[in-house]
Amino acid sequence: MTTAANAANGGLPTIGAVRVVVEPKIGLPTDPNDPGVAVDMFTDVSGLFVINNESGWYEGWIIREIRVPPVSDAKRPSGRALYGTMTREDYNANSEKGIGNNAIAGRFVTMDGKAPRLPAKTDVFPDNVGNTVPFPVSLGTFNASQQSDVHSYWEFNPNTNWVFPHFELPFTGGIPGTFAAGMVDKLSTVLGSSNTIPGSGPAGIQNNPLTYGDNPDNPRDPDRGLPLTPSEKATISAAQAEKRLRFIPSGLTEEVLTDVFIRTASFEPTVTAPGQRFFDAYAYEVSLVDRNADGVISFEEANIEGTSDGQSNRRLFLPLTAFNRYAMTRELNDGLLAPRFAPGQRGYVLAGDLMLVNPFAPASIARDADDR
Amino acid sequence: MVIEPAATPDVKLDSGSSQLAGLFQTPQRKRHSREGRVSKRPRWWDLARKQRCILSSDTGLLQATSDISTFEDWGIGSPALLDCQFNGADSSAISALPSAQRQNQSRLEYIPRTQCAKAEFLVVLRSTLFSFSKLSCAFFQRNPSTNATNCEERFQGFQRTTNMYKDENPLQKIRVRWATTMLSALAVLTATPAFLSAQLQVPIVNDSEIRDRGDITSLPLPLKNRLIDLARRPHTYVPATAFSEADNPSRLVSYYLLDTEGFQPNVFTSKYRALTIRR
Repeated sequence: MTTAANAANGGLPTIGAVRVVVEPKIGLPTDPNDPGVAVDMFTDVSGLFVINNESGWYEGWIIREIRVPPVSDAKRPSGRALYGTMTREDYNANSEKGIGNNAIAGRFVTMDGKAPRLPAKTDVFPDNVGNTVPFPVSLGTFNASQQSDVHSYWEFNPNTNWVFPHFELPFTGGIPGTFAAGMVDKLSTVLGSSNTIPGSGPAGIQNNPLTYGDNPDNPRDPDRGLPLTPSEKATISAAQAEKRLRFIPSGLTEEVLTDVFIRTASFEPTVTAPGQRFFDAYAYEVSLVDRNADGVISFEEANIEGTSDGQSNRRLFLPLTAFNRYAMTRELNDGLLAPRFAPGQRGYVLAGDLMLVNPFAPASIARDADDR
Repeated sequence: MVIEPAATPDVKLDSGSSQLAGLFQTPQRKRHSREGRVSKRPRWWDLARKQRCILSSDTGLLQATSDISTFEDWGIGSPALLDCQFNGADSSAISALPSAQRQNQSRLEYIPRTQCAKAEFLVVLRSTLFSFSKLSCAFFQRNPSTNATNCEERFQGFQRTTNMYKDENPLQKIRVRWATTMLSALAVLTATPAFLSAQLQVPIVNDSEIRDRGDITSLPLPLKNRLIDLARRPHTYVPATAFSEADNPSRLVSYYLLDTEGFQPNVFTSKYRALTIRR
């Protein structure tokens, strides 16, 4: 049975569109460069077959390639870099790597220090692929209908602008060599428990399933976020927000990746194995925001109107416009929140680049029944 | 970060070796007649297969020049059919071009599907008539493997082989033609529901229903065209409606046009096709 894209409807090319619209709600920002904005995203696709078996699904992702941070001579007392910066020592180390790309603030970070190269049709996995350092925010999951069309709706706001735990990355099979090394089923071995219990990973805190697991009397609900609008705040208590979360805000994810690839002098310079650096960086960055030291960042701890580590939590969330491309993957239940074969393209079925609109265009009708 | 849409210089699509041709042209089979001549004409079941292909080619239509082979070459020519055949591609064929080669999309003009539907009907009608006529002639001749190109030739062949009309019996000739006409009429009756049935697979959406919909009408043209393309294709639902969640309408700030071209083909995009360009 044919299952691939570009095979439905007599072999028409699979195509789609994603519309990104800002809701001008009272009390919320309307600038798409503000991470507090409330956004609706509509995905429509033609030419993807329904996934029938093993509860498979399609999943959309907006993807950011991380950028080189500026140099700061100020440091933490531990000698590590401040949020969103690299130290002078990091700069010097990056200058000597490749062509020195990772020493130029604002450029896409590359794994080899050479000029950035985004994924392309001409890539050949595993030897000839893009060299940037991407991470995605999930746009939710969906399946196709009978006529091979897909329609999905998702909301981007501070309750959803979160990213899978990057200690999963060595176990997706998408990093060259990891599948051959048998890594795809090793996460639970490394963790010593199931990956479904929220915690800060192999180098961090692992929690008791009885207190952090999916309790039948109090099921985990990662969609139960903080009230955002004034009207929601007047009627919904912040205390109802879920605390047992497996993911972290997008801005903090960029910090994790910056620790691994850019802060090679200021963050654990003696640890060179990328896998271990992922584990250590994840646990470290989570600890800076995790007030109750349970290895989990709750919605309340990351409240965009609150503070952590002496700074505004607004820094923890990247704006919508920071995500430069889109991909849709075909997923299986592998127990990971990460995209299939992340960070590579082997699970992609569709992709597209960001197109910004100026001036903004009216793009809705009538009125939603809930306004949530 | 602002990513500008790709530049759009001038191109013509080479339909002869293009994705379009791959989609909508059934390879012309060469077959040998009894006399050993190679015939370029397909057999009637080739035509039927081609019909299905055309009927499924409901997508956005592109008006452009082409040297694509015509149905005249196949003996049942129709200029309208040629347009329809070639135009059965959508904007994805253009967006599928590498950005460096994605040239002058604006010169490729969309035409309404309704113009094509009429030609599609002619395809079904003409080819079904052709097939039934062929069958009827074959019935009279009792030799379906003939290389005759139309009923008249078959009829003449019938005369030659049976020597039955040596005297040019007009009555008998009328009888045969009457039978052929009746069978052709039967073909019309058969073709019409078949055509309608095929159309039901593709709910016909008036472009204006999508283009003028409140949440779409003000969108940038490439996005609007893509949504129209999606609605023209077989679908269970048209593109989702965006509802307001505030007193003022939501505002489009960005969008993504999706295809399978920007990354290494994989097992999930296995029917990958290349599109070539004539410079």
